[in-house]
Amino acid sequence: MANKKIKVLMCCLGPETHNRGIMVVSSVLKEEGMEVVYMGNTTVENALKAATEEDVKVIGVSSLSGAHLRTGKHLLDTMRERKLDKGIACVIGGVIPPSDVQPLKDMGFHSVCVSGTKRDEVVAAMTAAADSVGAYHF
Amino acid sequence: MANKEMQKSTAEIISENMKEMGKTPVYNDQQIKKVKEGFENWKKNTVRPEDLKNWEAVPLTVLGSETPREMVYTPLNVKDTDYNEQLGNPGEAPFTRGIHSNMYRGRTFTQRQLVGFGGPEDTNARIRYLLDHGATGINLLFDMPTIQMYDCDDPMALGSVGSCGVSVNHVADWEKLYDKIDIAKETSSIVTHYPSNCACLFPDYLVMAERRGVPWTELKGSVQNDMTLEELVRNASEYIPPKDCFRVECDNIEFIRKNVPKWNFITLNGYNFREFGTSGVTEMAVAAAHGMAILDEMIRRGNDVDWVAERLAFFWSIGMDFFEEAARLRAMRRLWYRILKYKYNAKNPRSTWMRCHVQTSGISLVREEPYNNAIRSAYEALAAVLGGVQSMHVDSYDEAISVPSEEASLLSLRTQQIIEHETGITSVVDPLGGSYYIESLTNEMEKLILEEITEIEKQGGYVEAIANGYLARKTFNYMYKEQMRIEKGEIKIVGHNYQKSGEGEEFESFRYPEECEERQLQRLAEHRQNRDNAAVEKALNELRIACKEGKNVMEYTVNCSRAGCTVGEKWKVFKEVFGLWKRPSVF
Repeated sequence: MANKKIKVLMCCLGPETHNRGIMVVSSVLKEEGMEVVYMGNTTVENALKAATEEDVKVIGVSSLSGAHLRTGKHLLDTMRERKLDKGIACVIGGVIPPSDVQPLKDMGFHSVCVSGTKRDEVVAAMTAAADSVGAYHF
Repeated sequence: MANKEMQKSTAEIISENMKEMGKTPVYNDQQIKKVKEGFENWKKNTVRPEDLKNWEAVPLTVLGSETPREMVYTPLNVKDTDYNEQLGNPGEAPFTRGIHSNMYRGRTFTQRQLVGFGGPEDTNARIRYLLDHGATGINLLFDMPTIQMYDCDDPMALGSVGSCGVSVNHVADWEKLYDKIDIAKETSSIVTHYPSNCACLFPDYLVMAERRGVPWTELKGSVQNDMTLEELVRNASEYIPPKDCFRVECDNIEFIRKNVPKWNFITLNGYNFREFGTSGVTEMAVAAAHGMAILDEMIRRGNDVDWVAERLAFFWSIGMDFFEEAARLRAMRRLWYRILKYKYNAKNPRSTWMRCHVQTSGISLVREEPYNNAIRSAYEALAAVLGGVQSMHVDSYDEAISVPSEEASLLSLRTQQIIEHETGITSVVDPLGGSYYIESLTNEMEKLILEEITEIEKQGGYVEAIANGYLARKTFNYMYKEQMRIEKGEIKIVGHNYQKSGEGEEFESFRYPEECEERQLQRLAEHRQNRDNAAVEKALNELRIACKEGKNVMEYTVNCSRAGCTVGEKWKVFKEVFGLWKRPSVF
């Protein structure tokens, strides 16, 4: 039976000081058998560069400072411009007001994991996102 | 402090000195014997067998220490209490009961609510709103770019300007931030977070003071100038090495101590470290170890212990384990006294005071049913007051969603005012003093904190414990375990994992001001164009040389501010000279 190993990139877009979320989630995803490219703080440019070089299926964005709409839009618009959105899905999580959840999905995030999302839910979200863009790695 | 003393742990030094103490016990043996007899009978005849079996319970709370509690406390738990040696009267060594004899009767805790979002004028409006509603101090939080020392036109700042704090790039921004505010009168906690940022950002405030004709000797407030935040807690794409960060921290301390004498040059962390993920015990051990590292370095630089120590201050997180929070504040006051007295031979009583600002725990507040958070914060604030703190910020009910709205911010301020004016608590000093439980728990907390200090000393001290990744691993293990405990429901959070109702999803949250980023970008562009760029280059160059030659960096960053350099420009010099540090990974 083939080993389905999903490769994800975990990052914060911009100078995010808070990292509890990204650290715990990255650790959980690793435990669940995913391959995690941990980038920490980075720009959209660098995240996409690494994502394509590493051939990831999902970009997980951790946002705890309220910049999610702006940085999220920048990420997704850039991906669409470069036609990367067909091969890479994006998931965002963190401190996000309820009224921003749908706008984030509308702009192109596969799912939104607000604060308090449990381990199983995060894993499911990342797996579903990976599924949505095609073949697994073996 | 003789050099040979350094071989001994802090715990050993204190223990040796305590042995010399005269005994003035509160209880005599006869009394205790009688109490013990009665207690044993009670346990045998009245207490239920299942309670006897589970005599110790471990409260499980967010950021808890998992310190076991007995079902009830009696004089037997504190039979060796020596009032003068362990408690003292308030304002008297060892200051367990408070640093002042009259505590809140003399001076109430400063009500210092954090403000920061958008551009300087947005934050200015909220500061003045809170001052108008009775806040007694200013507490500033900067946006992610400013905190991490990126100018708003840096690619890293894109999309983040004005989020989570106020954007300030140079002195003119500060003028707007402090518009119609009298800095000679109001005290400001300037949350610069890191030593590097303190060196880059605080000079802008000082230069603003110069331009307003307010002498630095009159300025009162504090900066957070803390290596724990820069190297251990924060997430960043670039770090300078710990030893250079510590050097900058100590340069800042020396400069501020000399030139801004009424200013608290550090608020030892504390809060952010604990919120990152650790217990109140570890929080205090790390802060104490840090304080000692600073004192050791200051002495090495030829400074007098009292000169430095009398302005050292702390900044704690106050969590949900109500009595533990009050007890550990008392414990830390006593422990800090003992450290300063026995290890550092401080002569001035003020040098031995554990003065502190506190913030109620942000991580204990959850997204579901947000108004529950107002209750949580209120209890935390109450514990802090019972613990005798000097200054406080109360987190707001929308903490898990955004920076506080005006309404939420006001409720936090009111929480403090209600405690002060309606509960009657502030009319008695150290009201919990003498409680068998509290005194026992205070003793326990002091013991646990000292044990963890010894662990850090075994690592080679505070700086090394950060550089080698020991504290990073310890914290990660704690936060991961805690997260799992919460998900399994072992740590109960009402509305979140216990009694979930699904309510709170329609919450109208605070909105950041529109176009703040565009406005700040335009201002910065104008500033870059209008300033004397030759003077800027010259000042940055002089800073570069000072960094290389071991001079006091803040003297040079102040000149940079005068010349119109931005925060980002100064940070780039630090990175260039000190090089980058690859932080040990935890997974």
